[in-house]
Amino acid sequence: MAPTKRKTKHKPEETKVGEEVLDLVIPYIHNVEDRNSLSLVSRKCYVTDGITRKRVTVHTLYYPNPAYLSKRFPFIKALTLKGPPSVFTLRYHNANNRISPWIEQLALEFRCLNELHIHRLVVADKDLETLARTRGKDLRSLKISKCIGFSTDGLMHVSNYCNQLRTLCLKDSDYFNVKVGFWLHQLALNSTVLERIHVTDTDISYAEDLTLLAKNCYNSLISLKIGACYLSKLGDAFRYAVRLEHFGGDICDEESDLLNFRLPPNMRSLSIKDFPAFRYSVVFPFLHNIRKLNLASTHMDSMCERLLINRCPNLEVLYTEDAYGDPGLQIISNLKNLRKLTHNGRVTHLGLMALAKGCTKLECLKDKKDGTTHRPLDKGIRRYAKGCKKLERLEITLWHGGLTDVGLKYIGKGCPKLRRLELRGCPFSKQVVTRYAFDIPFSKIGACYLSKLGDAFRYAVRLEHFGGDICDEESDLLNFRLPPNMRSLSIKDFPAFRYSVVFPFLHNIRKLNLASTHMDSMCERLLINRCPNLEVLYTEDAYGDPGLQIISNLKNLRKLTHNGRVTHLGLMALAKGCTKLECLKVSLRDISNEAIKCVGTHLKNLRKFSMHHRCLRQDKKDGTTHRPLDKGIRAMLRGCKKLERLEITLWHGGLTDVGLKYIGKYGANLRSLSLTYIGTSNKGLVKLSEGCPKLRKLELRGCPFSKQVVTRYAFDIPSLRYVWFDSGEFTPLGLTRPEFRL
Amino acid sequence: MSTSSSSSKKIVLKSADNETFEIDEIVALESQAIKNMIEDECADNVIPLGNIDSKTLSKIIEYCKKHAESPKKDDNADIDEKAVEDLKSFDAEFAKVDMPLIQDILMAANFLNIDNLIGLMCRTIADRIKGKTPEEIRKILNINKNDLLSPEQEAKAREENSWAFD
Repeated sequence: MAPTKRKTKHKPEETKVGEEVLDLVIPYIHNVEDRNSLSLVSRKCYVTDGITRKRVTVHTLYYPNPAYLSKRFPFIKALTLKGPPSVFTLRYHNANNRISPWIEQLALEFRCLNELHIHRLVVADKDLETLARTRGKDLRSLKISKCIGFSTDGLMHVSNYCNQLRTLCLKDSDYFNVKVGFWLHQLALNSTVLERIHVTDTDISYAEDLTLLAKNCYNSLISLKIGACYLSKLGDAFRYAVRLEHFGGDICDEESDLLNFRLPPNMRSLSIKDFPAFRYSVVFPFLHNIRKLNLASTHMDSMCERLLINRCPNLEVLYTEDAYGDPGLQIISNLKNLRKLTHNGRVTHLGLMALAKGCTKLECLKDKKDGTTHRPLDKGIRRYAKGCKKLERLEITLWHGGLTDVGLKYIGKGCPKLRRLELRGCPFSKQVVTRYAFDIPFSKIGACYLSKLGDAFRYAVRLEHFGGDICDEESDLLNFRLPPNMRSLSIKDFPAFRYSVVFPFLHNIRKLNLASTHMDSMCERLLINRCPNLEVLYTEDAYGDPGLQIISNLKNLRKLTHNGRVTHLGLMALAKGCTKLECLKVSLRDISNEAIKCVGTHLKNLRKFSMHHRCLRQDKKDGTTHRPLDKGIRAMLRGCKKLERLEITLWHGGLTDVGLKYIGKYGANLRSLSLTYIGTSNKGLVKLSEGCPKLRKLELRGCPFSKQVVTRYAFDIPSLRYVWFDSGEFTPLGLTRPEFRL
Repeated sequence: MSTSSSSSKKIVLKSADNETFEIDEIVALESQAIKNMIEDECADNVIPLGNIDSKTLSKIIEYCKKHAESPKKDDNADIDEKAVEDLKSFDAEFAKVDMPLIQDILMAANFLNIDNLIGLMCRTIADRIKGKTPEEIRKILNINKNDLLSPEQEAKAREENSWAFD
């Protein structure tokens, strides 16, 4: 929009309005990336963002300065501290992984903090003690997941001081049980407002403590997740916890009686790994209210599962690994209120039909089906679509021929709310079907004839994206038109000559995906020519250099993936034409300094550049490919100042140590760098490491560097998080800062 | 609340460019600020709105009319889905205007204290700056460049943003 539109007002006021507006808008911006961008807009925005940010996630490994964080975001309410990614957890006991400096800072600053989430870090008992003593009374939520280093001694401090906790979660943490259940006893004694307690990996079969907890927090406890337990010992806890809605546990079989057992009246959700249903029929009457059931274990006895589902007639959400195939679905189909079903068992069309007949409120179905039967599921789908009018999302994996045209027609006609349809493994044939699938904004189908799609397109006024494999044919395309909102096409083939009637409609297409390698080059060129407003183009081959010549006319192109083989001449034409390019991927038969330089001169907005030289035999005829490209790279990096990702594949010697030095020196904004067959000696890497101040990720493949030099120098780059080094001589080396080893 | 519009009291609003708008009191009540004025009995004659131009004001009245007509959520627990959908699509359509006008509407709604409209405009702006760079945000909101971070401050903030907080 033109900023000059508000001509009647004074200029200084306009700018003030912008800031006042931002003051109002900032609280509505929650996305971290957007917040980060906002903080750089102006001084005032930086301050406003700082004092209004409520939640911050910090990777402690890369941000070792707690004091500065508290200065920048003094009023955060929720802080998440994260350790290194899981692949690097082998060397877990590392000083850099300790949370102590953070806890010390938390003790002093962050006066508004009441939620703390610690993830994959080393937490000492002393840390828990400091935290509990200083901030215990403020904390409402404490989650310690996948951490190690502490014991029940540390938890004891949490029990003693954090008496305002609403949530305590120790998911997947590994801690020593010194005085086994004592901390839980203390927690139960001191808490009166706990709402959620999740301690799945502890053995807390101390029923008395649970009972005490339930008694003291009877008015607040909503969710309880524990490990192995006996149902008979939970009776008292359940009697007290009148507000309990969710229970998760691994219920063990036992011999005791469940006299006077009852589930809390509000219980709505159960996640159980096992349940010896036969023995516990006394529970059945209470299952009537259950809305959500998660049967996550694959080892659950099918009969028990069926019995259980049968007794939960009001289920709305069900996750099951196996409900005994079709008979299982038959039982599930009695769940009239089911909205969401994830079913990993194997079923046939009979099961599907039953489901459709029964679960008319289903909104989301994720199902995997194997070709245990070879009959199409059309009838099943018909009933299904007829039944499930509210379906918004349908993802089914079928076998070849699992659904025919007829079936798809039923889906299209029957599910008015469907927004996304993915049917994997069904090669839908003809138009009869597609016509009904197309009122869904996002549709993908298989092979089709354009002439037969006309009607479908006329109906599908909402269609924005179409994907299909258009076959050649003899018919005329009378009155053919694309839907008015069509913006994106993915087509495998397109006999463009015959279908010039389509051309006028291509004017609006912004995104074109020509994924097939078999597409006729002439057709492709014709097609691209007719889409002058393309912004995104994916093509396997556009006839080499002449193809690129045509593409270079697309003035709005922002993103190009080109998998054909082109030469330096094609690249130059492209760079001169498509100056708005932000992402470019090309494969080259030959390359010259001049061409790379040309990219730098013209493509000022380039953020991602991927250049692969794929020619084993170096063509020396024109003197292009055998010379080092150092100077070209330098010119390119000097020009493309926004470049964040660079991938280069050349041949040994294609870029010398001098070139690597240039990448270091001029790659000021590079965040990710992938080099294959680059450099001549270790010296190159050393030089590279002196620069690239923002590099986060470095991939080196087939480069002549030694392991020692990689370990020694790569991390001189201060921002570097990960290195992947594969020279082919030894096992690949995965490194993360500062000295973890994969 | 009563919806008998024919007999209801009228309120007259006057924009900065001296255009007057006569609206039903019930429509005016959507604005907490005007509601207060009416309650304090200082809305007898014309209410002058010296900082809102007629283009913005007529948009705001359009919004208030629609929302005053729609059944309120707390009035009736089981209002039909259609009314809710209808209001939603009205809001979506309403927000399809260019950025200067959105900003004007937001500032005016803030002045008149119309909560729903403030929320709608803020969400619209938040949507439009989603995924944008700082430079683009400056351009979209027409923010001046006198108050930029110093290069060192910016570098430091950028570094922290990209490293630690994502």
